[in-house]
Amino acid sequence: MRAGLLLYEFRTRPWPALFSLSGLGLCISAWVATSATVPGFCGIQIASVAESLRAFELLAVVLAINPPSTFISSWSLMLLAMMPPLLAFPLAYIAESTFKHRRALAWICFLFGYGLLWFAFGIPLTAAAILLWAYFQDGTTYFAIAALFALIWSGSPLQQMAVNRGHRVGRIGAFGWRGHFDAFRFGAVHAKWCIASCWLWMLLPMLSNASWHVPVMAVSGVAMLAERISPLGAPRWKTPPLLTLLGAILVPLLRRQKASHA
Amino acid sequence: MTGVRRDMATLGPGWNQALEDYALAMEAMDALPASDRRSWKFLAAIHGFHKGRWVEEGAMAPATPVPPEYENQTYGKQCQHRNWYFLPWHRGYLASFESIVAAKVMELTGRQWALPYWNYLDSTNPNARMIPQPFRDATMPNGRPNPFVKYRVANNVAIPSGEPDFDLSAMRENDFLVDGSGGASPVGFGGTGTGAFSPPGMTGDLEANPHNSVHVILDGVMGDPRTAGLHPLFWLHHCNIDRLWEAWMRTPGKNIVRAMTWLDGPIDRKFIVPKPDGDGETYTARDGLRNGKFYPTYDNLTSGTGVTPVGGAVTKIGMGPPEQQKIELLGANGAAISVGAAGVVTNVAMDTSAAKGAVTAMGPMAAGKDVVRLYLQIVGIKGETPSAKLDVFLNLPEGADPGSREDLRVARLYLFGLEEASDPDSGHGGNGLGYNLEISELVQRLRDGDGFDADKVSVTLLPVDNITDDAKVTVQKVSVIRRTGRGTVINEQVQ
Repeated sequence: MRAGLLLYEFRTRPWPALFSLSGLGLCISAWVATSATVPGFCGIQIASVAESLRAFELLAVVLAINPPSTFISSWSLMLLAMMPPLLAFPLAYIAESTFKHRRALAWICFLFGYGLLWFAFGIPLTAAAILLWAYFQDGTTYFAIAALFALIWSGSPLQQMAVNRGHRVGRIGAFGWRGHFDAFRFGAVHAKWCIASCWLWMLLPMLSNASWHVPVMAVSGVAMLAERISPLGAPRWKTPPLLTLLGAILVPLLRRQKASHA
Repeated sequence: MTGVRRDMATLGPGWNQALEDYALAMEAMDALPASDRRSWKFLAAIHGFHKGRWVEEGAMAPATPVPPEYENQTYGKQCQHRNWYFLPWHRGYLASFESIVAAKVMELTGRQWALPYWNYLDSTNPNARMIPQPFRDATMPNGRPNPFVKYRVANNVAIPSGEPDFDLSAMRENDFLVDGSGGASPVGFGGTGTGAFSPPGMTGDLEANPHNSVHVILDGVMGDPRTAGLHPLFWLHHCNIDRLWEAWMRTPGKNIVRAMTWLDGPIDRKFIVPKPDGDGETYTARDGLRNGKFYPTYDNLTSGTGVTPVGGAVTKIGMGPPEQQKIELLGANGAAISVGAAGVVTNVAMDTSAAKGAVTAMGPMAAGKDVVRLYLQIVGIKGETPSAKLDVFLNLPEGADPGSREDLRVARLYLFGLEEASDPDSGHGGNGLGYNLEISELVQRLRDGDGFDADKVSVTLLPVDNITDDAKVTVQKVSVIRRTGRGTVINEQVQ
């Protein structure tokens, strides 16, 4: 990966707008985290007596003290903070496939389909995060294990298959409600493969301590973007794209530093 | 760099020195282990590799382990198609191949060698389309088995005359890439631009014709990008394609792309090829341009190119800078279609007022006036055979014999890489093939003749080869797009 060229490319449309949206999501998440009165993530309160409850008891308590709107808003924040840069490709594809006067609605339909599936998946993912909180008790250990799993998964053949299929585009009709339904369906199918490839990165922020929640979201977002822009290819074990990206940034810097000291 | 690349037809009849040395080198290189970066097979695998296909074509035994570098996203399966790296990537690839073969020829014979080109579109040579006899002989002049016939092509005699879309029409295009400011999929000579992500690729004009045409007409290993590099004609063919690109770049009024992502990309990997010593060498498009390490020298850039690279000042009218041209959707068909043994007609619904305006506006280029060109855009072409041929007609009357209505032919699509492009795990996303087919001239003829009704536009797709009811080709979408520029006077000093 060529970090310098990548940064150059990120100056061009639509990247600045997408990164700005992500930035907004991260800022709001940070504000919510700092104004929370009890430990939790993205505004979901997890009682400080968590360690004395069994896993499913904790789940019941959390559901009791957090209204559904809290889950919806917290999950929406996570999607806003982490997803926009991942949508550069499908949004550009929709722009090229539609009449100008239908484009905005086509994007909305796509985002609706995309968001619907992510929201549906958010329910079991959030429940899993809460259960893991309760079961493991020791936050650092299980977070580290989960991070390791996420890295291994991102270098796995199955994950590559999901990323490959996430690059497929659907037909977008040019006219009528059918065209908008095509955009909605494209969003849903795209979300399916997105979930398959990056579900662990989405779980990770929810397993981190409250004060680390936002930085972990940022790193997870970078990891998912690295996967999205890595070369497609035959499913096989490979270096996790996040590490490849870090190497692409750090190695030239270290070489330059070494050269200047020589 | 090796020497001057010459027209194969000017090197002498039959087993001339260049072809004999080429065969000797191929024989020696094909005997090297497949893991040796200077072996014939390794060089072929850089273009494409598929174990099953290589076994089918006798290039590899079923039990042979695949060298890791064939499949670990370093050297193997690197070929760039349907994007703007198609031409510069192949330039570096050819340079590597040529230097390794030249080194082998020097080692075996003490002679210099440069890669010849097959000048199949030289209208002054009545035998230009013939494949030279050495590519059919069972033995070389020294009596040993001829390596040129080791890997099969279905057509080893000549490119038949009368094959549609085997010509130099691509050379008329002035712009390497027009991305149309996000209006619709890009058009141009060179293929779709890529950035941080690679969109579904549109085949550039030169890649479509004559590059794809020759691959599919010869068929056999040449008909599949995963095996094409095995055949010795592959290199002579690509040498001519590269020469056509060079001739195009040196012709006044042609706009080569200058984006940093093209010059120094791609973003997601490095292109790498072996040197004669076996070490790897990375490169970019910049290395193939003037003063770059892979910049080639050709004996002739006029014969069989359709352009005249000249020196001195030239004045002509173009469509204006590519970044100021617009591409807009005018209409599309209603559903994906499937083509089997019988043809399929699909109706294209249009934004009627926009389409009528576009049709009315078409005409000769004039300075300061809008220039309008129309294209059929056919995308998401998928199938299960390595390649196929598909004919495209516009507004063919119901029941009409296509053979008697050549005036309504839009194009013959040579679907090179069909199966590979349809496979989501092949490295190209599985989105199939995509083409932009210019219909400006045809629509103007209809408009000025019997009339062109923008409310009644139909596209007929007819199978020609390798398309049956058991091996169908599906087409995701057929659209009509408009490309608009501003007639601009070009004054250019060409060196």
